[in-house]
Amino acid sequence: MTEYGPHLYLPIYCFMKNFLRYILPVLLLSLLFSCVKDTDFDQLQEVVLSPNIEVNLLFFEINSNEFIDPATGIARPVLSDVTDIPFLDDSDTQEGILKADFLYEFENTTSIDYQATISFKSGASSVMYALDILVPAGSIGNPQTHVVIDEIDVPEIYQITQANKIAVSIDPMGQLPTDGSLKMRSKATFYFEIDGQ
Amino acid sequence: MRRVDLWPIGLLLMLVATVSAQNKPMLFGLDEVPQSLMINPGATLMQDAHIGVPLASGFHLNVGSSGVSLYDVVGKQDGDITQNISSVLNSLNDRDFFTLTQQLELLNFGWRSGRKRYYSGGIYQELDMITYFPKDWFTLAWNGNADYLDYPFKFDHINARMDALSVFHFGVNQSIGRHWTVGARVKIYNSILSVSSLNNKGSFTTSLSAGDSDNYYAQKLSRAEVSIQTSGLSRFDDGFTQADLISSSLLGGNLGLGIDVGATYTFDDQLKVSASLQDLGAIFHASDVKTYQAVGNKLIEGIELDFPVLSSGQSPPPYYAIFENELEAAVPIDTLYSAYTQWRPVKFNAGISYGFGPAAPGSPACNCTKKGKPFTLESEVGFQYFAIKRPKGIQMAATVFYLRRLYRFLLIKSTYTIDALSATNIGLGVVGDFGNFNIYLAGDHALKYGNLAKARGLSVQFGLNFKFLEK
Repeated sequence: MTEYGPHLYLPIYCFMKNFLRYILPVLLLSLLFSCVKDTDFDQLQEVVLSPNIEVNLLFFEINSNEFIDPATGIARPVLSDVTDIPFLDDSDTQEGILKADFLYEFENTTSIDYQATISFKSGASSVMYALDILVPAGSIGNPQTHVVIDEIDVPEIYQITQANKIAVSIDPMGQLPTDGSLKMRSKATFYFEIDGQ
Repeated sequence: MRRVDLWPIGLLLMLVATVSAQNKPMLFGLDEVPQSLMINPGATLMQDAHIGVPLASGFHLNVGSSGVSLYDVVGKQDGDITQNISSVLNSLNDRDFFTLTQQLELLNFGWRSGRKRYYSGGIYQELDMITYFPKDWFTLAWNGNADYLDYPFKFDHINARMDALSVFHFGVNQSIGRHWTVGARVKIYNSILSVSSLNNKGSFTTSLSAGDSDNYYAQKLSRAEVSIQTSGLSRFDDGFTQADLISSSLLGGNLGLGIDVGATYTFDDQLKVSASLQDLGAIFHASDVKTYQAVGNKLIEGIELDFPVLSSGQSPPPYYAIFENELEAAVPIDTLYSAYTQWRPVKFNAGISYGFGPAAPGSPACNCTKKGKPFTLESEVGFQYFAIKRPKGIQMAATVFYLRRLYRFLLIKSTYTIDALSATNIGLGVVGDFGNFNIYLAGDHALKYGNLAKARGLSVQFGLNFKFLEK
């Protein structure tokens, strides 16, 4: 193959270099932008997305016999449990959330009332927000449904979004039941507002 | 309020304009420009040899959107921008799309061999993107699922394809008898980067559960099958330099093979019909291939508490981790490394043209000489049809044109194109022949050039070539 000296392709190289560097961008820019009128891109910063997200939260069923420790046979005065919820204290949630509605639906087929406490905690011990619910007694033949909607707005929402755990404790009020169960299911609606700035 | 970058939304909405990103109604049948051979290898030719100015012989850019214009999104309009965008979103559906196509010829040349045969070849680079509007997922992000109970958000709304490739081609054009000119071009595709998400299936639905269910909502991932196929991606891992671009453009990508075929039938000096098929071929993605795939069914429940008896110091079960693990087990995200084949978007062009008026300036007075500038008439009118196969179906465009050879060195062609998006697309093209130097410049949507923001598409083409005629 013949090796051509640089003198041969230098003019082409110079032309192409200048073409790519100056002419082409100017052509494209003039086509793309010079004739674009009556637009205001800054408006995009004012765009506000407001998605409302529905999710399941916690659920459980406690049978009457679970109030007795099977190992020792001794009654458990309060049943409690806790789970991580790593999405509330996430910085995206903290910045974007406007309010949240929590719905707790209990179904009691035991003969006693319960004091249920839902606590939003940061770490193991700091309670950021707590809700006490009195669940009325029912029976197997006549289940008692009890629905509580907790609407959390500013400023409580800022406490909720510091939490990374939800703890539930169930305190039986009176003689322990011999049959039936206490069920709960729950959901949350998160109202976000996300802007473009 | 949470603040996030919304520029991707803006960008997506901005890329909204015309339909057929690879349609080149200006060049099809325009025998004065050597690049007409690239659209129809069976074109009738006017030169005996040509060579393009390297990197400047053919440039094509087209952006388009089927549903909205830039002005619809960021125009200075009355009312709230959020409300304006909401109404734009509502007006789009999952078959609306955004396209971007860009081609740049690195090299283009051709020569006549004998009286009836013309060989041509070259290299060009192409970037081709199409994204259908992911309506359901935009809706979910924009509004959330609270007002969409029982509505299935469908994964097939996610449909996009992007290819960056270089193409090495060589073609032959042959006149047969007095009437026929036929041609074929072989293409070797060298894929630099290919990313696509096609043929996704399944849906996500939130419904109220039955009264006795453990959960308040039934949130179902039904028969979800979502995948993203990539090839050539690892090249970009450690930054991509100019040297990488040059080396990957020339060799080293995944290869493919394709052909273009075309023919022209010339009835007489006035009437001719022509048709061509481009990119009948495929790319075989075998190296540096990664497919990310999620397949599965899952009823997404809340977190179930067990209230276990714990001795002191014992921790409760890691409910949330269990929840996440169950989700991942039901809908695992796998990375596959198996080869795949992708068909190129095949294109079809057809046209009929009728010449009239006196002989064109510079043309011989009759079709009776075998050498020199071929006989042409001053004016031509005609009709052209274009179709391209895209992931969600065939997109079409119809064009009528008027061509006028004004001077020996100048012709203009004007087109009026109707496609799925726009019924007011007027294009203008100019071809200049200055000695052996040939220059063409063409643009679509001329009516909108006063304010491109209101156009749903923009297409420009230009090129610089040298043409040679035997005297």
